[in-house]
Amino acid sequence: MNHAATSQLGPDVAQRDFQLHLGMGIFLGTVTMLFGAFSSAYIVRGSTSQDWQAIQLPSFLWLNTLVIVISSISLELARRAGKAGDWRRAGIWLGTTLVLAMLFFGGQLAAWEWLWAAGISVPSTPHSSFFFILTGLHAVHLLAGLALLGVAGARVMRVSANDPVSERRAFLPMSVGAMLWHFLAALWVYLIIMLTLFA
Amino acid sequence: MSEPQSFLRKYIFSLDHKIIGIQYIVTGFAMAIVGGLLSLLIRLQLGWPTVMWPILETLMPNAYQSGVMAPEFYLAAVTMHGTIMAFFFISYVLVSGFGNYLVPLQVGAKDMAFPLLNMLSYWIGLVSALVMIMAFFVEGGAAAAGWTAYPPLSALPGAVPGSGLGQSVWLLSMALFIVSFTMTSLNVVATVFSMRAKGMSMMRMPMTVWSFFIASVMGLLAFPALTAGAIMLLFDRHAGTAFFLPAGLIIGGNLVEVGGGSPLLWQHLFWFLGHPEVYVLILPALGINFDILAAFTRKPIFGYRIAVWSLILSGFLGMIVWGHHMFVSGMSPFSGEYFSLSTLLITIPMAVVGVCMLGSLWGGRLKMATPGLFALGLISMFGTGGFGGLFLGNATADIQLHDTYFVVGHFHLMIGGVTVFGTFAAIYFWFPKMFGRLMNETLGRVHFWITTIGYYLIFLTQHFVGLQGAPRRYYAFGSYEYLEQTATSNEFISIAAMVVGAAQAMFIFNFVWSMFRGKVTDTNPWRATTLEWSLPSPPPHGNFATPPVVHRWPYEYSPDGGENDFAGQQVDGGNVPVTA
Repeated sequence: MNHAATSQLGPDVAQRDFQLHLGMGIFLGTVTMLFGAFSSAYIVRGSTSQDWQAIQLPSFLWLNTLVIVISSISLELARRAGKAGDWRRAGIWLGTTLVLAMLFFGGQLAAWEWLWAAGISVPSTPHSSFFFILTGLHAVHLLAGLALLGVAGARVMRVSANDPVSERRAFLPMSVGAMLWHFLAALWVYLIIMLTLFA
Repeated sequence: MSEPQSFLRKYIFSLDHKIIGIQYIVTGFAMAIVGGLLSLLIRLQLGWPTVMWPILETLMPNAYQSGVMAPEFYLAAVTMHGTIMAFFFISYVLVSGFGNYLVPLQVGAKDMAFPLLNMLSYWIGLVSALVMIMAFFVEGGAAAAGWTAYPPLSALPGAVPGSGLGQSVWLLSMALFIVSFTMTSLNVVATVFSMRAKGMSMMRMPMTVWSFFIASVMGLLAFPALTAGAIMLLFDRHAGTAFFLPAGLIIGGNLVEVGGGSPLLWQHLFWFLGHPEVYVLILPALGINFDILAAFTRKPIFGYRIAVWSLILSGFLGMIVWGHHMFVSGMSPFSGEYFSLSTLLITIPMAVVGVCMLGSLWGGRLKMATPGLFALGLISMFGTGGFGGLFLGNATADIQLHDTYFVVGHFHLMIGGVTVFGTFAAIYFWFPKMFGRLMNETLGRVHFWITTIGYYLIFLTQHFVGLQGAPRRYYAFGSYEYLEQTATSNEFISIAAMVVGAAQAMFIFNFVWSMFRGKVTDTNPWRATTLEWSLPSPPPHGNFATPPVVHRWPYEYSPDGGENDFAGQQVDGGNVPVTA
């Protein structure tokens, strides 16, 4: 969606777009505080107890980390292509992102399954409790991101080029969804470092 | 935007911020009736612990055995009174209710930034309130671990009857409340950032809007800590984890197998929310008070800029002082020192706000109707309550006073006095805007005087009962010889509480009666300056027919101006009484 297309839709639409991005930004602020609270609990619980026992996490989680980081990059490429009005390229990169997202979810399920098979569940040790709760909570937020990207995907497939209304409808969920997705990718990197290197 | 025509879409599932605001206000008052009745039951018990109440036994057979309140019910009553009053009365009426009603009107917007989210916020909020009430009817009764839900009492389902299903229901309700409150806060912040009318710079915003804005930012940053705590507590209760359960706990003679956790961790997480929550509630009352004072003194408020910055500073400091609720938890004396110093630092911006309010009276032409009286009462509560805070903020004094009635008296003057007086002032002030009618002035004045005098009789006396060593949350004091001296005071407090309770019934009668029979008034009965007073009462759907343009700050009053002693923010031109 190029600048000329936006301006055709008038100041109200531009304000609406700003509001939606602002709303997502504020929401991400509260999510940051949520994971900040868990992080401080992780530090306190870990440093004040005798029963802390670090669990061994499957090494393919690092591969999964790479998957979500690459998905973030591909989504950014999709967003930029959409912004430039190149919807074919946007569609390809968005499709790539969705495939990578599913791959990440698959990896996540496999990690839980792997731990389960090793006899490690939520209450096994404080470290496993934090691992399951934090990754689970991250996955819940990721589902919201996936829903937004799904909407974006459906709209990108039906977008009519040079129709500002249709272009905006396709671009908006992609752009707002990208904020969430980039945030969650960065959050994942933070979580995996905390849960492995500071276990 | 087109106005929906069906009754359901217009008044029930409304997207209009004004209807949603009123829905929140009505829901909040309904909850206040429950919370208020609980406080009367608590006072009956503390005032006359050995008297039998057969009628109450008939009404509540589980709570009253042989006509006397069961100790378990007493714990549930104090827990639910605190929870309901802080989260479901003041948060709903003052913050979500008036925040919704006033913010778009006062910044000159047609609605909130996200109306659908706003409607969802209300409905989730209503479900949350109903779930909280439901807790009374589950097996074991409502939660009984205090409004702070300290573990292990709240973490072990078998600890006391209320620690069973009642506590789980409490946590579920709080989770829904946080979702609802986050949605409202997000809307307020987004609306202030993106929907201010042309000319409405940040430094032309009324204090009311500033205070809702700061409170909302604080809510967004502070509430997630309780969300995290609540999730971990639910896992401790139902999934066998041990975030908060300490090692070596013995319940009913049996060793609890799970352990190793830290109950103090919950206290930190709870108070990281709990203390800012106090500011989330108090700041809007202060902001509203400035605007009401200006209308009743007919002069600009004193020190607008410094008051705004003081609210921001006190909001910031309010986020980093939570440990002062935990001075007796065995924390390091260095931490205690830090929390004491930072707490006492808040007195600086708060004293500035108080001085600005007093300065706003100076040289004014006081014309007192009920809203103005409540605004004055608020200043008084703020001063007296704040004075008690000086003692409690200091670790040395707090270790002596902690968990006594001194604390109960203090916070009822602040979070139960300043906020309630702010709520009443706001109701009497904006009622004509909501319904086009005035509330009855005589009933309003009687309500004010009984409430003010009653509040002081109850809560100042509680300070002294606390100084005599009476601990809070005790079911009866009869077994302790040193507390026999408090029996007369407790009886006195209970009688005063009944009278204040009766005055609130009068207020509710006045509210409902005035909706239909109150004196019809014009669009601006208080001759006030903010944008909502330029609109019809009630304002139409979409608020402004054409987007308003703001030409001046909201305090353009002149005490010597005679009939034309004010200019609304939307008034253009230089031929108006300019005062600042």
